[in-house]
Amino acid sequence: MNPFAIGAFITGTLAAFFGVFVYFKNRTRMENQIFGVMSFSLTIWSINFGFWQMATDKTTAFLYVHLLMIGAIFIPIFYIHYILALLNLIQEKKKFLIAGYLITLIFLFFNFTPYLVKDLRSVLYFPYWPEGGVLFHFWLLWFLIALSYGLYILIKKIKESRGIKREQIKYVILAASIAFGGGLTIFPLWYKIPCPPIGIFIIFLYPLILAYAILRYRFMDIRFVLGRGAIYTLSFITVIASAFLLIFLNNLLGNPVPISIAWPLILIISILLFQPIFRFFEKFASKYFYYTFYSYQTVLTDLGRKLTQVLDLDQLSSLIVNTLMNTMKLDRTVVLLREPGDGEYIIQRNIGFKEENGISLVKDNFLTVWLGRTQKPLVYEELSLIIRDTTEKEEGERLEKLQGNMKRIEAALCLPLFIEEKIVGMIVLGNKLSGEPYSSQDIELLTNLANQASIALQNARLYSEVKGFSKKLEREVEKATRELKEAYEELKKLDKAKSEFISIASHQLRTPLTAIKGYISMMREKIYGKPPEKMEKPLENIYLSNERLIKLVNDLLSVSRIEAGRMEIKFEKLSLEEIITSVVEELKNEVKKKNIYLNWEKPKKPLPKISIDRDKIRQAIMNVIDNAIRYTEKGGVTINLKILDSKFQIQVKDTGAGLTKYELSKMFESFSRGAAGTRLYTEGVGLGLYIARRFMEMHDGKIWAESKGPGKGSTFYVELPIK
Amino acid sequence: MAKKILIIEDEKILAEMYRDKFTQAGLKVYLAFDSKEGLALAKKEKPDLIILDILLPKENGIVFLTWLRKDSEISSIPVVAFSNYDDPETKRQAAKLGAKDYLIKTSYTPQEIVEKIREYLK
Repeated sequence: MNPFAIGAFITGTLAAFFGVFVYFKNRTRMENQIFGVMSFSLTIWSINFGFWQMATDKTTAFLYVHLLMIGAIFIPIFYIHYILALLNLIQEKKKFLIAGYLITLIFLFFNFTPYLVKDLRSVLYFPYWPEGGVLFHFWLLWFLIALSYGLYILIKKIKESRGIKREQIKYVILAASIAFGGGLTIFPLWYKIPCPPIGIFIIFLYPLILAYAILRYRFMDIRFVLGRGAIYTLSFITVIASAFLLIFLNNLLGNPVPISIAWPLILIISILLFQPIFRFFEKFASKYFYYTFYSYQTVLTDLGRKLTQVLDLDQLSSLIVNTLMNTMKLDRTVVLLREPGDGEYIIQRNIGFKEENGISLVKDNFLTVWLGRTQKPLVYEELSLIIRDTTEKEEGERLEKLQGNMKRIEAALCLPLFIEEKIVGMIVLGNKLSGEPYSSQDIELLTNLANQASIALQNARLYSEVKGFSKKLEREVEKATRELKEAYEELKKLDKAKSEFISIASHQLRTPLTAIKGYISMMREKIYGKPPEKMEKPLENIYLSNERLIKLVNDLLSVSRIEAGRMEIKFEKLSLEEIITSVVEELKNEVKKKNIYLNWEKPKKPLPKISIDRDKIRQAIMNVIDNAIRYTEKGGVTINLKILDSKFQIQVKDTGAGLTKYELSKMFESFSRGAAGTRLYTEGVGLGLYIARRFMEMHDGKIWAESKGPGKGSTFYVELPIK
Repeated sequence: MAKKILIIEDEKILAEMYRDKFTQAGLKVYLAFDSKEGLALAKKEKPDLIILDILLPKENGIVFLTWLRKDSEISSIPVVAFSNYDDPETKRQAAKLGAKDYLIKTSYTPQEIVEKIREYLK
């Protein structure tokens, strides 16, 4: 088959297919309707072109030429109509359009007359190429004017339009240029200029590109498309050229490789060569031609890398906003982040949006819900299409409201930030300063970037939260410490007041006690004359009671001093033996009165002196022995002293009341530690053993008691380290 | 000749009690009820020993001791602090100012005090 016929059939089939497809995609839109009829005219032209090329006799050929001319006559006016519809200029250019249709009808009327096509003749290798009549020159002129005019308004309008429309126009210009260029190759032969109508092979691109421009609402970056296309074409030509060169060389050398082998061989080589050649050209082109596109991608990839290196939330959001704005040349950008608790949005970083506008899109949660559902960026220009496709009335209304909102604040794209499919924030982008829409590459890049940004922002926020939390914690701890300190100071003051009270009160108590002690002892010394014998016993009792009181006051003073930390210690090298002896001496009278024994089993040979505070150790030992005597009614108390390891141990063993387990555990505590002390003893407040314990502790010594139970006596142990 | 003892003591009951006892023990006793009076009496009588209470009205016993030490006329008279005020710091001060001893009143009967005085007077 004639390759020109094949080209024509391909164009016809594609034109028919896209015409029908676009028409049924949206029958109500004028753009789509006119595209339909335009494709129909193109189909008629190209199909008949094909049949004409296949025709074997002149009559058949002539018929197909007349038929193809019908299509050809309609092409320019439909093309103009389509462009006017696309640019919303139909009303404005109504007269021109009507005139165009009238001209078309005139040419159509003359189609089957020789005025348009006079005859068929053999030109180049086409046996039946038509020869134009008088009107043909006019028609060709009209054709060229129409096409040029169409291109002219497109180019004029591209400057005024923005976004999607602008991109659409670009594609239409591309398509028109191809059709124009392709169509122009058809006509030279009419004037016997030997130029083959190779344009027939590229005209199929015309419906293809236009369909793409109508159907797609987000375009591939046209530079990218053109660049890719050019590289493919260049690679293809290179491969074909090399193939032909090889065949030519083979032929020149007298076919050393038989043709039957050479062709498949070359085919295989060509296929293998295509990929590396394509890569070579791609590299070459990216380096020299669409460098800007390449670097733009690099910048955003770089940003992705940088995102992982910044932990400060403010710095991070500034980095994102600045990079996006500088790279994509945007008029405004805002980063919104959601509070972890209530999900409320806050403006993290904003450039270009008015403060209240920056957040207005997320005032109700529709956008959030929508983005959460679609899991992809929302482009303003796609909204009208989304609204059109929405079947739910309420959703449609809300989308319209959103559309209005985005338009008002001039937001072009909402880029959601997801963490595990939950929206943690969004980046709202404005328009590109160039007026270009967001291309598929942009969206893809932005989506990838958003993924990285979400993680980085989330990390930064967690980091700042942890930082904030630790600061807060620090403050809380500080506050608590301060309060505790204040409370402690207050307590210390109270405690000091208490100690002072006890101290003063004790001193005050001592004065009358001194007087009683002095006078009674003087009376007993018979300084005031000999008292009656009957009075001797009462006087002694008064004296002893007074002594008890004095001791009680002394104990109170000791305790208050111990607890106020004002007890001082004065070490001297002393003989423990002597101290015990003096205590025993002092208590002899008391023992005698109770009619019990007090055995002091002195060590057989003198023991070494140790470093102790005389008064305190004496008081401690006195308290322990005194305590034993007090609770022993029968039998007596045995004291012994020995060295155990590196310690002195005093044992005070009595045959007295014995102790319960509870008493054993509580008896060395002061009355201030609990009620036990006051309950335990009927006489005194039981401070003696507490004081003994504290004094022992001051000497790094120990005091404890053992008892087999009530009524079974007890043994007190006092241990002092040898120092 | 009987030894002279000056008792500086604001509590009248105690002062009189010790006076009775000391006099009976053959000592010549002078009583003063505050530091100033004590100082004047000390200068006038030059006692062999001063029994000094510490908690006194207006100037306390420690102040009396500083006065005494500054006055060369009487600075060599031995002083025994005799108080129920049992405070380590005060005890230290008294010792620093040359007090021979610091006795707690309730720990001793008048007889024991007399014995102590005899010892100091030796």
